[in-house]
Amino acid sequence: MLKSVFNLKTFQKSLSLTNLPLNQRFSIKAIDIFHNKLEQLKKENVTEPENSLELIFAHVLNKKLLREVRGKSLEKLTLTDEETQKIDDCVLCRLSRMPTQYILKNWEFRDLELNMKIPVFIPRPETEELIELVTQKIDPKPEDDCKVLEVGCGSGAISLSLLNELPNLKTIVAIDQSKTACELTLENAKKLNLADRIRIFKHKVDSDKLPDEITMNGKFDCIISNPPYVPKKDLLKLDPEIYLYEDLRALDGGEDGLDVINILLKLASKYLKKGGSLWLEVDHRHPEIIEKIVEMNQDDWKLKYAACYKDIFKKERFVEIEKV
Amino acid sequence: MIFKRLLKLPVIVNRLYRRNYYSDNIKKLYFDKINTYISQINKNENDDEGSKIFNNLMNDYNFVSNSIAEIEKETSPENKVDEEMMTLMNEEKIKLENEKSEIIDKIFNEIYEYEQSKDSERISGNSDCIFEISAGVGGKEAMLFADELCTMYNNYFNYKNWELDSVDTDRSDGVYLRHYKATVKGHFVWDHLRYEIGVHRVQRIPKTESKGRIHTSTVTLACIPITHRHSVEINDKDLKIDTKRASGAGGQHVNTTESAVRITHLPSSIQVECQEDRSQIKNREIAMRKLREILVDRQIKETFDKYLKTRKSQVGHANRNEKIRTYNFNQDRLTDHRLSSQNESKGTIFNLESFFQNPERLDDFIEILRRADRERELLSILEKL
Repeated sequence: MLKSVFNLKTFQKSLSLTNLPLNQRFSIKAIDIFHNKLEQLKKENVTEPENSLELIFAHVLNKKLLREVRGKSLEKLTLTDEETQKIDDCVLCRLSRMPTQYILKNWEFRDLELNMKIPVFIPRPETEELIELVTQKIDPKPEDDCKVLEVGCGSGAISLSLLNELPNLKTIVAIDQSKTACELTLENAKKLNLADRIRIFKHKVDSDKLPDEITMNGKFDCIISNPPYVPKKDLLKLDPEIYLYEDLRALDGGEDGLDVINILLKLASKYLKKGGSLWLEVDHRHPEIIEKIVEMNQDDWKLKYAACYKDIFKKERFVEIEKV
Repeated sequence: MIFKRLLKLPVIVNRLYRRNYYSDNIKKLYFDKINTYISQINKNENDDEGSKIFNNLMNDYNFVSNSIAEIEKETSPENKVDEEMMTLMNEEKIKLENEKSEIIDKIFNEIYEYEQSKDSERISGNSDCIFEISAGVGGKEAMLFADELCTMYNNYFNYKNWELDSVDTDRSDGVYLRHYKATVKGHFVWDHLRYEIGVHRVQRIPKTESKGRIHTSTVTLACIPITHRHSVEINDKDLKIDTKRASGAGGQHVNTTESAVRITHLPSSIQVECQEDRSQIKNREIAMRKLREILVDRQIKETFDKYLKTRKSQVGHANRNEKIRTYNFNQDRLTDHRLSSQNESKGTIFNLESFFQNPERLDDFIEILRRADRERELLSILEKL
């Protein structure tokens, strides 16, 4: 009995001798925290719990690849107090269904890393394919003066990718009705050193007229947009991540999801050069309807429905319309 | 660069001394057959080039052997030659003998090249190769040895100025080498590496062994020549791409961060997965690259297998299951079983440490194997006559 007390005392002594901060004396195993948090997320029915956690861990621990916080590599990792605190905060946000992209405050779009900010629309992977299509079709030469307009730029994903991938494209005009979106686009443009090639305007497209400051350099060769196209009745069925956090103005396409698309068609007929094209990302039920609308107004608008392209999930997603 | 080349100079000089390619045995045995062989080629009137080369060489040979005969005649006891003259004559004779044996070497070489060029299916010695090392029987010890071999060959590639491409290393627990694969590009890669294909056996007391017992483990080395510019066309229709987004309306309706991609190539039912990157499009690119590599590899292997089926497996002809070499660390020697089956002392060399550290020694050894292979092939050509 006495012996054990003695042992305890020496043990305490040895503890007090080490002047290390607590977190280094008892380094916390990353894998334990991971499982603990995973349980919490699963309990609250948060979508994609594993993936969200992996992303949060990679973000907090400054790892580039997900496999560095997965399986064997995770077992070897230890966390400091500060890191544990950060992870706690992030998971708390995720528990309240905040999209992971907002928690990380940045997300990849093609080759670019863009800053993300609530409530600006988070770019979707499908839109990456739209860039693929457009960069194949328009590839200006150094002497060309190609003019491009993007309607509803959000975080700037489309415009900045085009500028990045088409070095001969001199400028893009980007407009958005949200002030935060305009600011975020500018912020991302500055971050990527593309700010001198993009002109950003806060403007809401509600009629077939654009303000003079946007059109003063003449008509456009290309108008590109990922307009709000979710039909009103679908809005309520969306995940809470979307309807609680994302700007609904970027999603709500009115009764049948075609409100903004209709305005864009009129704008295209008015502001596109002959032979210019309008590129849209749309709902997979829309291409048929759009084809009919364009055909009906052919004499008026002088537009031609050129083609429809599928995304990788084999859904009809992108529409190309030409001015004739 | 220049320094590196200069270092090799003694080796090259050494090699020049060794021009005497074939053993005297085979020369004596088969020289008669050469005459038959050449007369056959001369009969074949379509082949002017070939007969021209051989006839020139034969003229040289006759000239030299005539000179030798003359000298022999003059030095014969009947002609009383004074001593000074005798030594001069003898020196001359030795010189001529050397010349003669060199000409015979040339003739043998020409026969070999000629036969090789007739073989339309022959794989060019200049082909690049896919080089693979896999640990075989023996667990961790085999993996350790695979690692050592891997370092040795990498030194060798470096010494040869060969380039490595698409290197892929698979280590268990991040330490032990399970599998190593690389594409080797350069001058006559296949001509050198083909003799290394097969099972390499090691006998030693492993570092992991506590009771001091000798273990025998194996490592398999494969090398596949890239004979064509293989290209694979992947049809979009043949692909099935699975992601977490696949169901539902997609687009703006969904926001996921899950970016894992699985691609199934339907005709070959090969599946590749990628979840390395945060971006789905990047994961897709990586997965497609992986898929393409697998398909090209497969094609290269198929072509080579087809080639192997059409001929007997022989020295340097890539039988992956053949045990070719034993490294015995306790006796500090290595034995090549293909060479030692002909001649006990020929296939064995000592001082393993220097063998592993000096790529020149490996190069010399491969040279011996090449020569043995040539000799064997020549024998089989001449025996047929």
